[in-house]
Order: sequence, then C-alpha cells, then structure tokens
Amino acid sequence: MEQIFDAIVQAITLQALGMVALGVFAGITVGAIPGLTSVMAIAVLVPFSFFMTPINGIPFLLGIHKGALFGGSIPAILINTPGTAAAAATTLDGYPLAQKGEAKSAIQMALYSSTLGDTFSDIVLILAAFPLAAVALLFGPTEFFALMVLGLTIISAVTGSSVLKGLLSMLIGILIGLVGQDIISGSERFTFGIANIADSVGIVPMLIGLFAISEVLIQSEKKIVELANPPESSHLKGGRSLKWIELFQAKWAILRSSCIGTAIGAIPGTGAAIATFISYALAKRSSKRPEEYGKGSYEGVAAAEASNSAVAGADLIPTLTFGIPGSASAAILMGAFMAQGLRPGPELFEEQASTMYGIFALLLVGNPIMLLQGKLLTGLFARLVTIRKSVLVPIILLLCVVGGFIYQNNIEDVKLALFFGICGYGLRKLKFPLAPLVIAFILTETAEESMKQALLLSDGDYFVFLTKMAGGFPVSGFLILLSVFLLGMAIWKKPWAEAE
Amino acid sequence: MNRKDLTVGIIFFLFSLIYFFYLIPTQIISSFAQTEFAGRIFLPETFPQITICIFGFVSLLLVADTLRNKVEEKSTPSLNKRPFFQSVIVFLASMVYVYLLEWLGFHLSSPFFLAFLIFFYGTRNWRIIVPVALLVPISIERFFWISFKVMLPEGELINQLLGYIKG
Repeated sequence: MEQIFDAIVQAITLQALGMVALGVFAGITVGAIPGLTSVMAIAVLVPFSFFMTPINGIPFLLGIHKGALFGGSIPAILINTPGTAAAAATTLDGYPLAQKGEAKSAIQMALYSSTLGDTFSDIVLILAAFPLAAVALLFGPTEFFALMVLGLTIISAVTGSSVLKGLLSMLIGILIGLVGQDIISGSERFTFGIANIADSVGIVPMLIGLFAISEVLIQSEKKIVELANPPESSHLKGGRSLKWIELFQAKWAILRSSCIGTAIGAIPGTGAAIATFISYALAKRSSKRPEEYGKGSYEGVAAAEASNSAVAGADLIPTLTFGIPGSASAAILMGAFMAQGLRPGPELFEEQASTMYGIFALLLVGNPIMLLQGKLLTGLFARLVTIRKSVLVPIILLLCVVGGFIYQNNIEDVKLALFFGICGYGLRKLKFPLAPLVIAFILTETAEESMKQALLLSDGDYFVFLTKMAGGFPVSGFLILLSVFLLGMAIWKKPWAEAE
Repeated sequence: MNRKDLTVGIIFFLFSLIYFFYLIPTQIISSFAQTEFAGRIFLPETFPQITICIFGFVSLLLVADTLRNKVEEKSTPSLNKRPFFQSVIVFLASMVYVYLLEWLGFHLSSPFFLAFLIFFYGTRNWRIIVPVALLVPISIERFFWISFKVMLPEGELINQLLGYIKG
C-alpha cells in the first residue's frame, strides 16, 4: 500500500499535471471541431509524447482521448453536427435545447455527465486491471494466441458494416505487420530493399497516414464553400446555467449509462457510438418523462454523454491487461506505450507497477481537470466550432508531416505516412474499417511469436490450440471455438449493423 | 450487385496469388538454412503463407457474397468527380511539398505549401493567408527547437548554399 502511495505521489508532479491539462485541452479542441476525430488527434500528437517520460507522455495522450469525447458534444449541441461519431446521440436532445436558447446549460450537462461517466470507467479500469493482469499471467503462449484470435475476430466482426471487409482489413494489418525482420529467424521479409522498413513498418507514420492524412483527404472532398466559410453559429449565445436539480434528476440516467458504456467499452471493437445509442434508448425507456426525449431533454444529453465518455477508460481494460486493444484509439495508445518501452500486457503490471499506478492516478486527476477546463473555457471551445476548415486542414496536414519526420528524424517516414494516407483514404472510400487493420498490425509480432512458441512446446502439433489444458480447463480451445462461433454468428446475421 | 466490392474482391484475390507464388519466394531472405529449423512451422514463410491463404479465401467470399447479393447499386444520376480530384490535388501537393522539404527545407517550403492549400480550400483573403502561412511554420519550428531541441529539415540546397558562403 505504501508503495502504491509513493508511486502516486511521485507521479503527480506539476509537469505531469500540466501535460494532462494540455492533453485534455487538445482533446476538447479537436472534439469541438466537427469532422476531426480523437483518433486523428492522438495519431498526430503521438510523436510529441516521445520527447516526454512515460509518466508524462502517456497521460498527455489519455487526456486527448478524454477531452475529445466531451469536446464532441459542443458542436453536437451548437450546430447539430457531432464533433465525433460518439456524440451523434447528443444531437438528438442537445440541439433542440440550443434552439430553445439553453445551449450553455446543455453543454454543462454534457460536461458533468461526461466527467462522471469517465471517472466511473476509470475506477473500474483501475480496480479490474491488476486482478485481470494477474489472471493473464497464468496464460501461456497457446492461450495468448487463442486470446488474440478471439480479440481480432470480435474486432473484425463488429467494426464496420461488413464482416468480410472487417476480416480483410484485419488480414491487411497482419500482412503489413509481417514486413521487416522475422522475430524467430531474423530473416528479412517483404522489405523490397528499402532500408526504412528493414526492421518493421514504423507505427507512427502508419498511424498518421491511416488516420490523419486520410482524414485530411476526406475533408478535401467537401465543397469549397463549406470549407471556406465558418458554420452557422446562431445558437452560440445561450442563456442560463445548469441547475443542480436538473443534474440530480438525471442521476440514474448517468449511472446507468456509465455502467453500459463501461461494459460495452471493455468489449473489443464495439466503441462509443454503439454504447451511446444503447444507453440513450434505455434511458428513454426508463425515464419518467420519455416524451421529452428528442425535443430537448437534459436526461437525454446526460445519458448519451455519460455513456460515450465511460468508454474512454473501459477500452483500456483489454489493452493494458491482455495487450489486445479494443478500438483504434486504444491501438494508437498501445503503440505509444510500446514506443515508450512499455509493452501492454500482464507483464507490464509486474515489471512497471509503479509507472502504471502513476498513470492511473493521472488518468483520474484528468477528470477534474476536464471539468475545470470545461467550466472556464466553454466560450472559447464554442468559438472553435466556427473555425474555417480551409485554414485548419492545411495546418493539420503540416502537423502530420512534422509528426512523421520527428518520429526518427527521417524524411522517409513522411513519405511512408503519405503512402499510408492514400491507402487509408482508399480503404475508407471502399468502406473498409481501419481499426481491425491497426490492431492486427500491432498484434502480428506477438501473435506469430506466441503461435510458434506454442507449436515448439507441442512438437509442431496444431491441435494444441484446441486440446491444451490450463488449470484443468481447455482455455485456448474454448477461446478458439468461441471465435469460430462469433464469426459464424456475425456472417449469418449481423444484428448490430442494423442498430448502427 | 456492388461493382466496387466485386472489383476489390477480384483484385485482392489476384494479389493473394501474386503474394503466395511470387512475393513469398522472392521477398523472404532466410538468414538460416531450412535444415536448421525443427520443422516447417518455424520457417519465416509459414505465417505469411497461412495469412495469405486466409486472405485469398476471404477475398473469394467477398466476390461470392457480392455476386449472390442481387440488389442493384443505387445508380447516381451524375457521377461527380470533383471531390475525388480535390483530394488528388491535395495529395499531389503534399508529395511535391515533401520533395521540396528535402531540397529547400521546412522554413522555405512550408509557407508556400500552407498558402497554396488555404487558397485552394477557398479562402481568398490574403490577410488570413499570409499571416497563417508565415506564422504557423515559424511557431512549429520554434516550438520543436525550444522544447525538444529537434531541428526540422533544413534542406540540401540551403545546406550547400550555406557551405558555399562559409567557403
């Protein structure tokens, strides 16, 4: 206990708090600008974290993730355009409230419920992470390989509208992950003599290309008038502050949505958008005033926002404990952990326990920081909604180039980022989800290593994945069969596609 | 039937054949003789072979699924190619910029790049374009140098010129 306390005290420095605050500010800023996603922001800003210690750099990125989920509610309320996909449900009640002249109180409700939802999921993450990591430590390479197969199957099956495209995206990720040196034999694979990818494809140029440059190209498709002119801002000036009684009346909606957001967020591949709509629907069903939903209900805003923010902490549960990222943003964060020399997985909690306690403490501290920034800077963030994209998008592209360059001080990485940018653009146009690709890319090395270790231990018997017993139970066999079952279910009928 | 998916499925399947029969044999340079391995599973080719076989199979499934789905794609009255060309121009401009970065460096090429893009995206007000194009690159460069001591590309041409001036 004393060790935990010491680790937390050492982690909470003025510098670390400053980095969290900066991350939250950057996150809210990006979230407040319609069309710019938190995934893109994290991808662009990951290289900045390399110049910081893990205890400063990781909370900075986590701050972006947190801030963007709340920030997305600002344009949703003000101009009926969600800043992020997760904030889509917020428009249903947020915008009608803004039309009534209650934009300020609606944003405050979004802020309070986001903070509460996020805090709830952070607490669950902290409580669950260490015990789950302890369980994961009992796993051998066979179980880990099976777990990765399950994780990748769920992500491919759930993300996007087509299971087959999800699977193909995941397989493309593996193929890219195979480029470079084979971890067992040291052989060079698919490098085409290019020195820059002799070890492996750099994760940062890939992330910047897939998520940020492709986003810039997608934004470039918009009409010039739309890009050059600021959006309509007639509802920016909004009346009264939120009353405590209104927040109190939404307490059950916030609690229920926080639980749903946390539970769904912990399942790989599901994401905040699904959690938000389920929470919104349940809140409406359980409300004493369901007729107000869709016409400007504070409860509706609270349910949507608590739920989408609750995903922020929860999707780190599989990422940190098992090393299997549950979403694109979690995958990028995992990449940042790895670049900082911290490999997510059960060993992380054993070898770097004090760092993890410190990161968790800063994760929690990020919530009151977000509350404070939201309270004090709402006016500023609201103005961001009206920023011209014709100025913003070129600056983002410039930051992408700089981010690619500073990764290894190499211009070749910028070229690689541009290559992945055009690939990401093409895949997005063809409706291929990018999350399975990135997650598979990150997991390829570990998956191949685990598979080969498992086969080595079983003298090359492929049935080991079905028959090996762990603690008297065929864990890997169960996980593989579950993967097959889920995949079959997803191909046969994909109920969540309709819900999406 | 979605023609795009059908084309993608066929291209991906053909790619899997090229990958299996051409890329794997030519692009995997083993540093060990095969006999040193305990079995085939430990060869560097094995995992790529398994992956590409699944990739080819799923590509065929995509083709089959598209052919089976008889619902016709909603025909668009007139295909608007403008958005696509706008993206292509931005991408080409980025490629030119990266090339210029190597020669002219960050300081000289970035203002032109920013000014071009802001103008291209429809802002014609030079009181916005000029300050943004000049101040943003300087701010970024100063930020990286002061905070992290990272020097952004100076450019070959500039380096040579400076070397020539210094004698």
